[in-house]
Amino acid sequence: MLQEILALFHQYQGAPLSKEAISARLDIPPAVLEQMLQTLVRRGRLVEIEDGCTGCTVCPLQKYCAAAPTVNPRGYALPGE
Amino acid sequence: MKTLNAPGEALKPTTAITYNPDIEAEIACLTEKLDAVNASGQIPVSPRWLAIQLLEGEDSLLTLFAEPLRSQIEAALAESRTRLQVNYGEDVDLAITDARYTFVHDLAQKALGGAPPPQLNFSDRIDRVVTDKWLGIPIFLALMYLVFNLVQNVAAPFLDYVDGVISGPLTHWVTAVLTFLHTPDWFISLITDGIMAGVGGILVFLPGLLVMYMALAVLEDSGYLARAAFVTDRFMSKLGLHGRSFVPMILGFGCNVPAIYATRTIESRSARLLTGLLIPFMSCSARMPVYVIFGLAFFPHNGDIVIWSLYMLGLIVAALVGIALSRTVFKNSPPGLLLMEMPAYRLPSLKRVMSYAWEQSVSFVRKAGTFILAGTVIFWLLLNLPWGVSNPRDSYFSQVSGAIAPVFAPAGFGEWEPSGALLTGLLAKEMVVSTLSQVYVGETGSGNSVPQASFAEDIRQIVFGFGAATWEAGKQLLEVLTPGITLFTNDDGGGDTALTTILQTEFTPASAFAFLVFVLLYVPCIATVSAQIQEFGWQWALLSVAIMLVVPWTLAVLVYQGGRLLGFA
Repeated sequence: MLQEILALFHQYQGAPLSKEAISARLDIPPAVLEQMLQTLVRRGRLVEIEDGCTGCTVCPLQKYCAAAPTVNPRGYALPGE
Repeated sequence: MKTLNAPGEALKPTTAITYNPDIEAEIACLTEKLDAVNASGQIPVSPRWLAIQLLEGEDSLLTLFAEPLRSQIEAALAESRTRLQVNYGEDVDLAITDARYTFVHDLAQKALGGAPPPQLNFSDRIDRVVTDKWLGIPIFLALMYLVFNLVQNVAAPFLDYVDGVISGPLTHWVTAVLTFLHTPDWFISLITDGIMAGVGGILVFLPGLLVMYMALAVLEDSGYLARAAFVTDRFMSKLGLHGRSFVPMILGFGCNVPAIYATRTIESRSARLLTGLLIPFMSCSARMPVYVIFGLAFFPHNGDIVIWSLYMLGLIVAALVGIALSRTVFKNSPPGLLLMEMPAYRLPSLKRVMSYAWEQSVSFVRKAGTFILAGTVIFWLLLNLPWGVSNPRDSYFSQVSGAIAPVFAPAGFGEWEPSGALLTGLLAKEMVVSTLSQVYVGETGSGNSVPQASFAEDIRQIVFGFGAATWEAGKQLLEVLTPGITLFTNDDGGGDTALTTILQTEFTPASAFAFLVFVLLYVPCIATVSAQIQEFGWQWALLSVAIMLVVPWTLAVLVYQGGRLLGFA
């Protein structure tokens, strides 16, 4: 099952998938999928993305920024991509 | 089946997880060695459990052993792993963990086999529609149109009001005080024609931006914005963009500078570069004032569609450039999967929405009071050099702007004023409107041409004007939220500022739209280019600048010449 998830990450060429979509595709309950994703993160097979605006911390215009709301998505991706 | 243990008897599992035979063989081999070591009882855990953990890579457990036992177990572990790697490669640990998940999954299936599938919750039901493969993009576009409709129509009365207050009472009072203090004429000109026209020309957009910030905050707080990122990225990824590009791209709609820095989350260099080259096509919020002022001047009844189409044009151009680059320069940049987690939908909190809109508005005012203020002072000086020049057309700035103006003649705005505005727009996009205000409104002295009113009349204009603008905006809001139903007669919704009036004489609809296309697509600002230099190096930044000059010029010329053929010039 972990291998199937990883295979999906390696083979899937295209748009992002939601956790719900992967859960339905692999017939894994969302709560179990979350655990499996965390396992893959602990094993270094995936990386977790938590903060969308990492750039803001180094941005010289931070003080004057009137940017649109930050989309702070949480997600997973293969390391090194 | 044994269900109960006798009192005092240790709990024993009634079933066990069985791994693949080759893994079981290695577990047994290691367990045997550990059992031998454990004769003295020094291992506080089950030897089989320990063997499995060690095979899974939990090497920290080796610290349970002292030398020379530790080296012996380490050697045995390495041998077992080497044998397993023949079948599992580097994924020995995953094969073991996978067996446990499979066991749990099968057990749950047996236990819940007859249970009906879980009911879709509220978020799931909405997601089925808003993230649908075919409906997702149209819903996103419709919501964006609604946002721009709000910005254009609801903000227009306030824009009119703020412009009236700044160019009316405020200018009267400042001029009166400065005259009373016997300040020199050039200083009064700096304050009224320079700072008040320039900074004031930007601050009039605060109500419109406040509406936009509130609308976006509602979308974000409701949980929709993450879905919007999801559906738009599905579209962009089809064009060769990387799965992790979506965060910087979406940030680019706010400000391109942090978006460039946010590409750091993408480890693949080619994917980073491609994303970094496309971010400037995302229309940052600083460009909004330019769209609004031209929208009100030339497209008063469908300015929202014009703004919406500009945002879409930015996405389409980014997509086309992305396709071109991913098929030429970045051939080996395969998009990877990104698994996104969607926050649950919720009713937006008024407190959070207002707090966000307030913070962003304060940032906008702060920027106007620092960057834009400094820019307008410098720009006023340039318009008055050589010192004492009576007509701005004879200034150094006019001569420099005039030198590049012919380049824009095929696009319909080949005069020094718009060319100068595009030059100062390189500092910050807000400067485009600020400069146009100074060269057009400041030049004609419109701010001072308003008939002098008494103090009481000024106060009445400020107080009653605000009430009238609020009433008008409320009416517009109801109209926007009830599409297809006319609740109020369509009287003048406001938005006739000194600048819009002058722009109508200086531009045609075709040249105005060509100008907007150029503003949308040309080099965003020096700060963005600096970020590109810092993140990608000089060569890539120069390539980006070249793209951001050639593409907008070409499209602006096409728009203007096409508009002329259709009779809009």
